[in-house]
Amino acid sequence: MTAPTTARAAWRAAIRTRRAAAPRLVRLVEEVVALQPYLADSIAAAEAVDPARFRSIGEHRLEIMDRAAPGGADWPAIARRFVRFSVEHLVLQRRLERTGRYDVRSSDEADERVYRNREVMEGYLDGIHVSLIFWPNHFRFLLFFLDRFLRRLEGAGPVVEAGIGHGAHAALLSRETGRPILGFDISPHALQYARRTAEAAGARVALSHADLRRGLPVRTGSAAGAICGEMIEHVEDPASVLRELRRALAPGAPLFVTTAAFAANVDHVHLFRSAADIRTLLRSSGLSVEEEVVLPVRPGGDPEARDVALNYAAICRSTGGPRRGVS
Amino acid sequence: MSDTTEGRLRRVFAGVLRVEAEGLEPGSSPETVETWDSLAHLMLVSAVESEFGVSLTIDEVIEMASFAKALAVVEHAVAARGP
Repeated sequence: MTAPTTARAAWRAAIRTRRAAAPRLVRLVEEVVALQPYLADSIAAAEAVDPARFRSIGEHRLEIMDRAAPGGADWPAIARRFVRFSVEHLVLQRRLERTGRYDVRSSDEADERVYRNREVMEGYLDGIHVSLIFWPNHFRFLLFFLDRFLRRLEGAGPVVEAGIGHGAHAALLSRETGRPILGFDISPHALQYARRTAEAAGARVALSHADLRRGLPVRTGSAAGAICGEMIEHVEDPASVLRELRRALAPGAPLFVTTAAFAANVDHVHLFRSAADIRTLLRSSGLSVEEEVVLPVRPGGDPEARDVALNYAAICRSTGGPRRGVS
Repeated sequence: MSDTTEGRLRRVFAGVLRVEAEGLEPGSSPETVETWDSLAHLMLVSAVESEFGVSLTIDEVIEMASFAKALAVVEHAVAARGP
């Protein structure tokens, strides 16, 4: 065998030596990189964030995916779905940079094209689930969630997740804190996926269908915390979703929110142009930012610039005042 | 250099990846060419689309993971476009 010819190939050879400690993780890396070798760059960047936790948290996530799938995970299929999710993002991002707008014009269109379509949705959920580990920014946000958000939860009451999707955050929260979770999603396929994730993780998650554009079916002031990950950019009026989350929160309870600015995906509707846009929206929805992580999608990008692809995560609290809701 | 599809594709790849056209082999891929990262992959797609007057699907963008595979994708896309 000849020596590796690129840093990418050398990294791939190095990660193979971790097979005993993280067999599923190494297997999936192999499958992904065989399909689309340059994606090794993104996975290597995620690993570099925290190599030990990349392996432990990554292997744990994939173990849950393995247990959640009837008959065990189909790793080649999951790799294809993650590759498609990643490449579609790249292609759509290039189009956004040319046109200055997202392809999908309304959340109804996203609902029809993505959330109601079983095949598309299952591929999408596997893709975004794996991106929690294999995309460096998503992996950083997962660590932010585990290290900074969970410790802020106090008092009794459930944690609400609006747009539960793959269910990974709820499952991790349940494992780390033992708290019950109320999970909502517009997609029946996401609810099934999240149910399988919760069962595989032994998590206490009550799942219900809800169209969050029409309100959150949760009593005012009843939630000990709330999670809203990669959701508000999927609706025309993100402020209404944030106001509903604020209404549901007990006084002082924290909200974990992540979103994206000027970063395309098949179902992104509301185009934030900058981190400042997102902060303004949070403030005008009655939320104060306690901690945040702002990351450019491309290494070296300016996180405070306009029209630069960004991932944004924050832990917020209600700024007080009347807790009016739409329901 | 020839004006065959392969010759034209070779020039496109050499230009985007900043490598010698003669050095490209069928098995050339991001595993062997350091400059072939995600951004370069999309630039290859754009350059192929404009050189050959075709529009590639997501599946084709994924499929062109080596020089030989890219050639197969282009030949197929050109044939599908018709004369």
